[in-house]
Amino acid sequence: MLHETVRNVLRGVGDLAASADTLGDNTDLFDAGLSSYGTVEVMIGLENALGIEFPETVLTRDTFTSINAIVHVLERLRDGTVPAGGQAVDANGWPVATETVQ
Amino acid sequence: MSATELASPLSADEFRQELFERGLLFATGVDGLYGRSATFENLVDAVDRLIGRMSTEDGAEIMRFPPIMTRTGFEASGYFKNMPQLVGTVHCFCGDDREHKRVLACTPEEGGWTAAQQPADVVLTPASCYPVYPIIAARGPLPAEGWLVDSSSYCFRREPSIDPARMQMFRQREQVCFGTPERIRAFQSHWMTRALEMFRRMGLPATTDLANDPFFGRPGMLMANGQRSQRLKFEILVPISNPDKLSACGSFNYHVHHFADAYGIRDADGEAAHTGCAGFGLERVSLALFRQHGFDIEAWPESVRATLWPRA
Repeated sequence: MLHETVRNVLRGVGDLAASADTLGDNTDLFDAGLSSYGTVEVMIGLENALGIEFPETVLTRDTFTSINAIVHVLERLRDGTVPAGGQAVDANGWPVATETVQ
Repeated sequence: MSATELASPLSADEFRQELFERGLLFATGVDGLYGRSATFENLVDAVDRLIGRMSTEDGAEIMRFPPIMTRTGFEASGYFKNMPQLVGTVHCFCGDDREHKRVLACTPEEGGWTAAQQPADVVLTPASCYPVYPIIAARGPLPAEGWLVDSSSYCFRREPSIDPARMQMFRQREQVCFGTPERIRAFQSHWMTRALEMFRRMGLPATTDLANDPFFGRPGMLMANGQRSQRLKFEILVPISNPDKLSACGSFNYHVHHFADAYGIRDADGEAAHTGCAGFGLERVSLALFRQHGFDIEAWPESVRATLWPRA
Protein backbone atom coordinates (compact mmCIF):
# COMPACT_ATOMS: atom_id res chain seq x y z
CA MET A 1 0.00 0.00 0.00
CA LEU A 2 2.70 2.47 1.06
CA HIS A 3 4.89 1.28 -1.80
CA GLU A 4 2.16 2.14 -4.30
CA THR A 5 1.59 5.53 -2.68
CA VAL A 6 5.31 6.31 -2.95
CA ARG A 7 5.42 5.16 -6.57
CA ASN A 8 2.39 7.33 -7.36
CA VAL A 9 4.16 10.36 -5.92
CA LEU A 10 7.34 9.55 -7.89
CA ARG A 11 5.27 9.46 -11.11
CA GLY A 12 4.48 13.12 -10.51
CA VAL A 13 8.10 14.19 -9.99
CA GLY A 14 9.70 15.55 -13.14
CA ASP A 15 13.08 13.90 -12.54
CA LEU A 16 11.59 10.40 -12.37
CA ALA A 17 8.30 10.67 -14.26
CA ALA A 18 9.59 8.61 -17.21
CA SER A 19 11.12 5.84 -15.10
CA ALA A 20 8.84 5.65 -12.05
CA ASP A 21 7.08 2.46 -13.21
CA THR A 22 10.31 0.58 -13.85
CA LEU A 23 12.19 1.52 -10.66
CA GLY A 24 12.97 -1.36 -8.33
CA ASP A 25 12.06 -0.96 -4.67
CA ASN A 26 15.76 -0.79 -3.82
CA THR A 27 16.89 1.23 -6.85
CA ASP A 28 18.96 4.29 -5.84
CA LEU A 29 16.66 7.18 -6.73
CA PHE A 30 19.55 9.64 -6.93
CA ASP A 31 21.36 7.40 -9.41
CA ALA A 32 18.07 7.26 -11.33
CA GLY A 33 18.11 11.06 -11.70
CA LEU A 34 16.41 12.43 -8.59
CA SER A 35 17.73 15.96 -7.95
CA SER A 36 17.67 18.06 -4.76
CA TYR A 37 14.59 19.91 -6.00
CA GLY A 38 13.04 16.57 -6.95
CA THR A 39 13.61 15.30 -3.41
CA VAL A 40 11.66 18.27 -2.08
CA GLU A 41 8.85 17.46 -4.54
CA VAL A 42 8.78 13.86 -3.25
CA MET A 43 8.66 15.08 0.35
CA ILE A 44 5.80 17.51 -0.31
CA GLY A 45 3.96 14.99 -2.48
CA LEU A 46 4.06 12.36 0.27
CA GLU A 47 3.01 14.87 2.94
CA ASN A 48 0.00 15.88 0.83
CA ALA A 49 -0.91 12.32 -0.11
CA LEU A 50 -0.71 10.95 3.42
CA GLY A 51 -1.63 14.01 5.48
CA ILE A 52 1.61 13.78 7.43
CA GLU A 53 4.57 16.06 8.17
CA PHE A 54 8.09 14.66 8.12
CA PRO A 55 9.93 15.68 11.33
CA GLU A 56 13.11 17.63 10.64
CA THR A 57 15.19 14.77 12.02
CA VAL A 58 14.30 12.61 8.99
CA LEU A 59 14.70 15.35 6.37
CA THR A 60 17.90 13.78 5.10
CA ARG A 61 19.07 12.46 1.78
CA ASP A 62 19.12 8.92 3.25
CA THR A 63 15.35 9.01 3.80
CA PHE A 64 14.76 9.40 0.06
CA THR A 65 17.43 7.02 -1.26
CA SER A 66 14.99 4.35 -2.51
CA ILE A 67 11.33 3.43 -2.44
CA ASN A 68 12.05 0.94 0.35
CA ALA A 69 13.95 3.57 2.33
CA ILE A 70 11.02 5.98 2.06
CA VAL A 71 8.53 3.28 3.05
CA HIS A 72 10.68 2.34 6.03
CA VAL A 73 10.59 5.93 7.33
CA LEU A 74 6.85 6.20 6.67
CA GLU A 75 6.26 2.99 8.65
CA ARG A 76 8.31 4.36 11.55
CA LEU A 77 6.31 7.57 11.44
CA ARG A 78 3.07 5.57 11.45
CA ASP A 79 4.30 3.47 14.38
CA GLY A 80 5.40 6.54 16.30
CA THR A 81 9.03 5.43 16.51
CA VAL A 82 10.31 8.67 14.98
CA PRO A 83 10.18 11.57 17.46
CA ALA A 84 8.33 14.64 16.20
CA GLY A 85 10.08 18.01 15.77
CA GLY A 86 13.79 18.25 16.42
CA GLN A 87 16.41 20.17 14.53
CA ALA A 88 17.82 19.01 11.22
CA VAL A 89 21.29 17.57 11.54
CA ASP A 90 23.79 16.31 9.00
CA ALA A 91 25.29 12.84 8.80
CA ASN A 92 27.73 13.74 11.59
CA GLY A 93 25.00 14.98 13.90
CA TRP A 94 25.86 18.66 13.44
CA PRO A 95 22.96 21.11 13.06
CA VAL A 96 22.57 22.57 9.58
CA ALA A 97 23.35 26.28 9.25
CA THR A 98 20.67 28.95 8.98
CA GLU A 99 22.81 31.96 8.04
CA THR A 100 24.80 32.78 4.93
CA VAL A 101 28.49 33.15 4.33
CA GLN A 102 29.49 36.59 3.03
CA MET B 1 50.04 39.02 18.56
CA SER B 2 51.07 35.78 16.85
CA ALA B 3 49.24 34.35 13.89
CA THR B 4 47.73 31.54 15.90
CA GLU B 5 46.80 33.47 19.01
CA LEU B 6 43.14 34.45 19.17
CA ALA B 7 42.14 38.08 19.61
CA SER B 8 40.50 38.90 22.96
CA PRO B 9 36.70 38.53 23.12
CA LEU B 10 34.61 41.52 22.04
CA SER B 11 30.86 41.33 21.49
CA ALA B 12 29.40 42.06 18.06
CA ASP B 13 27.81 45.27 19.36
CA GLU B 14 31.05 46.45 21.01
CA PHE B 15 33.06 45.65 17.89
CA ARG B 16 30.64 47.59 15.68
CA GLN B 17 30.65 50.54 18.09
CA GLU B 18 34.45 50.62 17.96
CA LEU B 19 34.37 50.63 14.16
CA PHE B 20 31.97 53.60 14.25
CA GLU B 21 33.88 55.54 16.91
CA ARG B 22 37.19 55.09 15.10
CA GLY B 23 35.58 56.31 11.87
CA LEU B 24 36.26 53.07 9.97
CA LEU B 25 32.59 52.48 9.19
CA PHE B 26 29.81 55.09 9.10
CA ALA B 27 26.44 54.28 10.68
CA THR B 28 23.37 54.84 8.50
CA GLY B 29 20.66 53.93 11.01
CA VAL B 30 20.02 50.62 9.26
CA ASP B 31 21.69 47.49 10.62
CA GLY B 32 23.96 45.93 8.03
CA LEU B 33 24.19 49.07 5.84
CA TYR B 34 27.35 51.13 6.39
CA GLY B 35 29.50 53.73 4.78
CA ARG B 36 33.20 52.93 4.45
CA SER B 37 36.16 55.18 5.30
CA ALA B 38 39.30 55.62 3.19
CA THR B 39 41.21 53.38 5.61
CA PHE B 40 38.59 50.65 5.38
CA GLU B 41 38.47 50.89 1.58
CA ASN B 42 42.25 50.79 1.38
CA LEU B 43 42.18 47.50 3.28
CA VAL B 44 39.34 46.05 1.20
CA ASP B 45 41.32 46.96 -1.91
CA ALA B 46 44.45 45.29 -0.50
CA VAL B 47 42.53 42.07 0.26
CA ASP B 48 41.02 42.15 -3.24
CA ARG B 49 44.47 42.60 -4.80
CA LEU B 50 45.94 39.81 -2.67
CA ILE B 51 43.31 37.40 -4.01
CA GLY B 52 44.20 38.62 -7.48
CA ARG B 53 47.92 38.02 -6.94
CA MET B 54 47.31 34.51 -5.60
CA SER B 55 45.25 33.57 -8.67
CA THR B 56 47.04 35.52 -11.38
CA GLU B 57 48.51 32.40 -12.98
CA ASP B 58 45.09 30.77 -13.34
CA GLY B 59 44.39 32.84 -16.44
CA ALA B 60 40.76 33.45 -15.50
CA GLU B 61 38.59 35.78 -17.57
CA ILE B 62 37.86 38.94 -15.58
CA MET B 63 34.20 39.96 -15.16
CA ARG B 64 33.13 42.85 -12.94
CA PHE B 65 29.46 43.59 -12.31
CA PRO B 66 27.26 46.32 -10.88
CA PRO B 67 25.19 45.26 -7.84
CA ILE B 68 22.12 44.38 -9.91
CA MET B 69 21.53 41.58 -12.37
CA THR B 70 18.82 40.66 -14.85
CA ARG B 71 15.56 39.41 -13.40
CA THR B 72 15.42 36.62 -16.00
CA GLY B 73 18.90 35.45 -14.99
CA PHE B 74 17.95 35.63 -11.33
CA GLU B 75 14.72 33.68 -11.84
CA ALA B 76 16.52 30.95 -13.78
CA SER B 77 18.97 30.45 -10.90
CA GLY B 78 16.28 29.13 -8.53
CA TYR B 79 17.50 31.49 -5.80
CA PHE B 80 13.99 32.65 -4.85
CA LYS B 81 12.90 29.03 -4.59
CA ASN B 82 15.73 28.28 -2.17
CA MET B 83 16.33 31.47 -0.20
CA PRO B 84 13.39 33.90 -0.61
CA GLN B 85 14.12 35.48 2.77
CA LEU B 86 17.40 36.97 1.48
CA VAL B 87 16.21 38.42 -1.83
CA GLY B 88 16.16 42.13 -2.62
CA THR B 89 14.05 43.15 -5.62
CA VAL B 90 14.02 46.43 -7.55
CA HIS B 91 10.68 48.15 -8.05
CA CYS B 92 10.08 51.27 -10.15
CA PHE B 93 7.36 53.81 -10.79
CA CYS B 94 5.89 53.34 -14.26
CA GLY B 95 2.79 55.55 -14.04
CA ASP B 96 1.82 58.94 -15.47
CA ASP B 97 1.26 62.38 -13.85
CA ARG B 98 -2.11 61.40 -12.51
CA GLU B 99 -0.79 58.19 -10.96
CA HIS B 100 2.14 60.12 -9.50
CA LYS B 101 -0.22 62.55 -7.76
CA ARG B 102 -2.34 59.67 -6.52
CA VAL B 103 0.51 57.80 -4.87
CA LEU B 104 1.93 60.98 -3.31
CA ALA B 105 -1.43 61.38 -1.60
CA CYS B 106 -1.62 57.75 -0.44
CA THR B 107 -1.58 57.22 3.31
CA PRO B 108 0.91 54.76 4.79
CA GLU B 109 -2.01 52.34 5.19
CA GLU B 110 -2.68 52.65 1.44
CA GLY B 111 0.93 51.88 0.68
CA GLY B 112 2.25 55.45 0.62
CA TRP B 113 4.51 56.42 -2.26
CA THR B 114 5.21 52.74 -2.97
CA ALA B 115 1.56 52.02 -3.83
CA ALA B 116 2.18 51.96 -7.60
CA GLN B 117 5.72 50.51 -7.67
CA GLN B 118 6.14 47.70 -10.19
CA PRO B 119 8.83 44.99 -10.20
CA ALA B 120 11.59 45.95 -12.63
CA ASP B 121 13.54 43.75 -15.02
CA VAL B 122 16.52 43.80 -12.63
CA VAL B 123 17.07 42.51 -9.07
CA LEU B 124 19.84 42.98 -6.51
CA THR B 125 22.66 40.51 -7.08
CA PRO B 126 22.80 37.84 -4.32
CA ALA B 127 26.26 36.49 -5.24
CA SER B 128 28.83 37.71 -7.72
CA CYS B 129 28.85 34.44 -9.66
CA TYR B 130 25.15 34.68 -10.59
CA PRO B 131 25.52 37.18 -13.48
CA VAL B 132 28.30 34.99 -14.91
CA TYR B 133 26.21 31.92 -15.79
CA PRO B 134 23.88 33.42 -18.42
CA ILE B 135 26.85 35.08 -20.13
CA ILE B 136 28.77 31.81 -20.38
CA ALA B 137 25.65 29.92 -21.47
CA ALA B 138 25.02 32.39 -24.30
CA ARG B 139 28.45 31.67 -25.80
CA GLY B 140 27.53 28.08 -26.61
CA PRO B 141 29.46 24.89 -25.69
CA LEU B 142 32.50 25.30 -23.46
CA PRO B 143 36.04 24.65 -24.74
CA ALA B 144 37.18 21.06 -24.11
CA GLU B 145 39.29 22.14 -21.13
CA GLY B 146 36.40 24.09 -19.55
CA TRP B 147 36.49 27.75 -18.50
CA LEU B 148 37.38 29.94 -15.56
CA VAL B 149 35.99 33.35 -14.63
CA ASP B 150 37.19 35.81 -11.97
CA SER B 151 34.08 37.76 -10.91
CA SER B 152 33.37 40.55 -8.47
CA SER B 153 30.32 42.50 -7.43
CA TYR B 154 28.58 44.19 -4.56
CA CYS B 155 26.00 41.69 -3.31
CA PHE B 156 22.76 42.06 -1.33
CA ARG B 157 21.30 39.75 1.30
CA ARG B 158 18.39 40.77 3.51
CA GLU B 159 19.98 39.83 6.83
CA PRO B 160 19.87 42.92 9.07
CA SER B 161 22.10 42.37 12.10
CA ILE B 162 24.04 44.30 14.71
CA ASP B 163 26.99 42.09 13.80
CA PRO B 164 29.17 44.25 11.53
CA ALA B 165 30.35 41.07 9.81
CA ARG B 166 26.79 40.43 8.62
CA MET B 167 26.22 43.26 6.18
CA GLN B 168 23.24 43.63 3.86
CA MET B 169 25.51 44.89 1.06
CA PHE B 170 29.06 43.67 0.72
CA ARG B 171 31.61 42.83 -1.97
CA GLN B 172 32.43 39.35 -3.17
CA ARG B 173 35.46 38.29 -5.20
CA GLU B 174 34.49 34.95 -6.66
CA GLN B 175 36.17 32.55 -9.06
CA VAL B 176 33.75 30.48 -11.15
CA CYS B 177 34.86 27.22 -12.75
CA PHE B 178 33.17 25.32 -15.59
CA GLY B 179 34.12 21.80 -16.67
CA THR B 180 34.10 18.15 -15.68
CA PRO B 181 33.27 16.94 -12.15
CA GLU B 182 36.96 16.13 -11.68
CA ARG B 183 38.01 19.64 -12.66
CA ILE B 184 35.47 21.25 -10.31
CA ARG B 185 36.47 19.05 -7.35
CA ALA B 186 40.14 19.85 -8.01
CA PHE B 187 39.29 23.58 -8.25
CA GLN B 188 37.37 23.39 -4.95
CA SER B 189 40.18 21.58 -3.18
CA HIS B 190 42.87 23.85 -4.65
CA TRP B 191 41.10 27.01 -3.51
CA MET B 192 40.60 25.65 0.03
CA THR B 193 44.34 25.01 0.29
CA ARG B 194 45.14 28.37 -1.31
CA ALA B 195 42.74 30.19 1.02
CA LEU B 196 44.28 28.65 4.13
CA GLU B 197 47.71 29.79 2.92
CA MET B 198 46.37 33.28 2.16
CA PHE B 199 44.81 33.60 5.62
CA ARG B 200 47.98 32.25 7.27
CA ARG B 201 49.97 34.96 5.54
CA MET B 202 47.46 37.54 6.79
CA GLY B 203 47.98 36.26 10.34
CA LEU B 204 44.39 35.04 10.66
CA PRO B 205 43.67 31.82 12.62
CA ALA B 206 41.51 30.18 9.94
CA THR B 207 40.03 26.73 9.61
CA THR B 208 37.91 25.12 6.89
CA ASP B 209 34.79 23.07 7.48
CA LEU B 210 31.87 21.42 5.74
CA ALA B 211 28.92 23.81 5.39
CA ASN B 212 25.48 24.36 3.87
CA ASP B 213 23.47 27.23 2.45
CA PRO B 214 20.61 28.58 4.62
CA PHE B 215 17.85 27.10 2.45
CA PHE B 216 14.37 28.32 3.42
CA GLY B 217 11.82 26.40 5.47
CA ARG B 218 11.38 22.66 5.99
CA PRO B 219 12.17 21.75 2.39
CA GLY B 220 15.32 23.78 2.95
CA MET B 221 16.37 21.44 5.74
CA LEU B 222 16.27 18.62 3.23
CA MET B 223 18.24 20.65 0.67
CA ALA B 224 20.83 21.64 3.28
CA ASN B 225 21.27 18.08 4.43
CA GLY B 226 21.68 16.87 0.87
CA GLN B 227 24.31 19.54 0.29
CA ARG B 228 26.25 18.43 3.34
CA SER B 229 26.00 14.70 2.69
CA GLN B 230 27.37 15.24 -0.83
CA ARG B 231 30.14 17.50 0.57
CA LEU B 232 29.26 20.25 -1.90
CA LYS B 233 30.06 23.30 0.25
CA PHE B 234 33.02 24.18 2.45
CA GLU B 235 33.78 27.44 4.25
CA ILE B 236 36.87 29.14 5.61
CA LEU B 237 36.15 30.31 9.13
CA VAL B 238 37.74 33.00 11.30
CA PRO B 239 36.77 34.58 14.64
CA ILE B 240 35.34 38.06 14.02
CA SER B 241 32.41 39.33 16.08
CA ASN B 242 31.41 36.35 18.15
CA PRO B 243 34.23 34.66 20.06
CA ASP B 244 32.05 31.54 20.46
CA LYS B 245 31.05 31.25 16.82
CA LEU B 246 33.44 31.54 13.91
CA SER B 247 32.45 33.65 10.91
CA ALA B 248 32.73 32.34 7.36
CA CYS B 249 34.90 34.63 5.22
CA GLY B 250 34.80 32.51 2.10
CA SER B 251 33.20 29.44 0.58
CA PHE B 252 34.13 26.74 -1.91
CA ASN B 253 31.18 25.27 -3.72
CA TYR B 254 30.46 22.45 -6.14
CA HIS B 255 27.06 22.96 -7.83
CA VAL B 256 27.09 19.63 -9.73
CA HIS B 257 24.99 20.47 -12.84
CA HIS B 258 22.44 22.73 -11.13
CA PHE B 259 23.50 25.92 -12.94
CA ALA B 260 24.18 24.09 -16.18
CA ASP B 261 20.58 22.84 -16.17
CA ALA B 262 19.24 26.24 -15.08
CA TYR B 263 21.03 28.22 -17.80
CA GLY B 264 21.76 25.61 -20.47
CA ILE B 265 25.55 25.55 -20.03
CA ARG B 266 26.98 22.73 -22.17
CA ASP B 267 30.40 21.13 -22.31
CA ALA B 268 32.27 20.55 -25.58
CA ASP B 269 30.29 17.33 -26.13
CA GLY B 270 26.95 19.05 -25.62
CA GLU B 271 26.36 17.51 -22.17
CA ALA B 272 25.39 19.55 -19.10
CA ALA B 273 28.61 21.06 -17.71
CA HIS B 274 29.50 20.99 -14.03
CA THR B 275 30.24 24.23 -12.18
CA GLY B 276 31.81 25.40 -8.95
CA CYS B 277 32.78 28.68 -7.32
CA ALA B 278 35.25 29.89 -4.71
CA GLY B 279 34.41 33.26 -3.20
CA PHE B 280 35.54 35.61 -0.48
CA GLY B 281 33.63 38.33 1.34
CA LEU B 282 36.00 41.28 1.13
CA GLU B 283 34.43 43.24 4.02
CA ARG B 284 34.45 40.15 6.24
CA VAL B 285 38.11 39.43 5.59
CA SER B 286 38.88 43.10 6.31
CA LEU B 287 36.90 43.02 9.55
CA ALA B 288 38.67 39.81 10.56
CA LEU B 289 41.99 41.62 10.09
CA PHE B 290 40.88 44.56 12.28
CA ARG B 291 39.55 42.13 14.83
CA GLN B 292 42.75 40.09 14.91
CA HIS B 293 45.43 42.77 14.61
CA GLY B 294 43.74 45.83 16.07
CA PHE B 295 42.30 49.04 14.65
CA ASP B 296 45.65 50.72 13.88
CA ILE B 297 46.95 49.26 10.62
CA GLU B 298 50.33 50.96 11.13
CA ALA B 299 50.80 48.80 14.23
CA TRP B 300 50.03 45.49 12.49
CA PRO B 301 52.82 42.88 12.21
CA GLU B 302 55.21 43.73 9.40
CA SER B 303 54.66 40.30 7.78
CA VAL B 304 50.91 40.95 7.55
CA ARG B 305 51.44 44.44 6.12
CA ALA B 306 53.94 43.10 3.60
CA THR B 307 51.43 40.45 2.51
CA LEU B 308 48.71 43.03 1.96
CA TRP B 309 50.86 45.88 0.65
CA PRO B 310 53.93 44.26 -0.96
CA ARG B 311 56.66 46.61 -2.07
CA ALA B 312 57.09 46.64 -5.83
